[in-house]
Amino acid sequence: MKALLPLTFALALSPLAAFALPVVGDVLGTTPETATAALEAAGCKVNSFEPEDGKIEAKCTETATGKIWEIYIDPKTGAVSKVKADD
Amino acid sequence: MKPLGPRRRPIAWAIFLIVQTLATVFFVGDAAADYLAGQISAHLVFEMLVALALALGMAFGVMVLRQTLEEMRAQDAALATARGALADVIAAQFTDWGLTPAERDVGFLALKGLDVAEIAELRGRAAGTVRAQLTRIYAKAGVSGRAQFAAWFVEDLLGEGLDVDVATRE
Amino acid sequence: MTDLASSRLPRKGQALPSWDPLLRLAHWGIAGVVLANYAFTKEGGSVHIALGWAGMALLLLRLIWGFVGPREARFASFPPNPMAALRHLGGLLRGKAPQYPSHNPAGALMAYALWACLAVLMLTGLGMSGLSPFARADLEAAVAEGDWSVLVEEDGDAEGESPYGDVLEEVHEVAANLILILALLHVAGVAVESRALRRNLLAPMLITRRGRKG
Repeated sequence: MKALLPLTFALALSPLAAFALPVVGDVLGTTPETATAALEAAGCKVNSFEPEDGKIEAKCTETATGKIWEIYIDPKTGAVSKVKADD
Repeated sequence: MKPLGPRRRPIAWAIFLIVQTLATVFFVGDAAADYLAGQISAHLVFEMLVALALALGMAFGVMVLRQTLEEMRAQDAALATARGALADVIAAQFTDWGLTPAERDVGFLALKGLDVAEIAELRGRAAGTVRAQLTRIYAKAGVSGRAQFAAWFVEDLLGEGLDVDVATRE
Repeated sequence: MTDLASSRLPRKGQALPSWDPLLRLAHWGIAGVVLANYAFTKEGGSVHIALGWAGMALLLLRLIWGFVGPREARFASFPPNPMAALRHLGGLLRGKAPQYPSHNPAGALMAYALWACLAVLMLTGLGMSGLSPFARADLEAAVAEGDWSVLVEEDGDAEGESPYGDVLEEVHEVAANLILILALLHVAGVAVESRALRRNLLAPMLITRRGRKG
């Protein structure tokens, strides 16, 4: 639960959330619902989930700038393993 | 459904063989993966039997296509030989009749079914010239017209082949 | 004296190859699959893998055909011969080279080179995606349904990680790029030879030559 604090803090601070980029180790959830909710709360709207190299690759669009990010989630723990900008 | 002409059959069979091969390879891959995953079961045994059947079907398809191609090529070769032989027969007969070079050309074109106007256009001559040449050709051949001219060679090819009861048709 | 007869009858023994339908379909099929996977499909995706399997099936078929097919399709008709290939290329420069009923020696080398690279490409692809053509599709379908547990192996390691994965990926990429270069060379070669020797080498690979060998 501790890892979710930074995200909820950002959410609480600003209604129109500026994008707080998840860092490696942040727990987003082990189901698409929880991960989508967590990412949306952080300011990134999820486009798709795909299997990639044993992880879940979440593609989301930053609501504020429209930039697309690839967030890799460990399906067992729900934690972020890699963050990449989609080029 | 109209049966495929002999020209089209190899192509159709080749397409079919490719589809068979795709099915076989995909199925064998899947069955092999199941086998290696260690899930031995009635289901797996069934899969392997199907895979075997598909492979046999594919082998059979290869044999059939091979045979079809060979038959077609044999036919083409025979046809080419026949064509060549016929051309030789015609050429020899023209020589026999003593046709001039121009008459030989006109004679071939007439046998191919071109009419006077077409022959004239092809050779760049007047229709009257062609008509005169044809008359000379028929005279040398001892025939009364174009139909008999063509019949000369048809009869030659038929040999004893045509079974017509001429006597009763009097 | 013009003998119109011989100019109208089918020309004897035009020694250009007469490729059978299966050979032609395999040729263009493999080319299409490789091009699609190089340029259009998502790497590692289910479509990419399915097309790769199709290419593998076509290559396998061509391999079988090289042993039991019609004469010009058999490997025995165009054995690899680097010296002969060089001589052939030299002949091209002089504008004079013999006609072959099957691949000419240079074309033969190109065919074997391409097939070797294709084999490497497909084997490395298999190594990465596994023995079942449907595994990736099943995975994608499960994740699309919302089931992430399929990615979790029982012993705790996430599925899909392989120690050889990186090496296989590298070799796969190198093979793909090599094939692209060879393919461009191949197209250029066909064009150059057709021009230099005034022969249409593309036609036999494209259409059935009627009334010839078929």
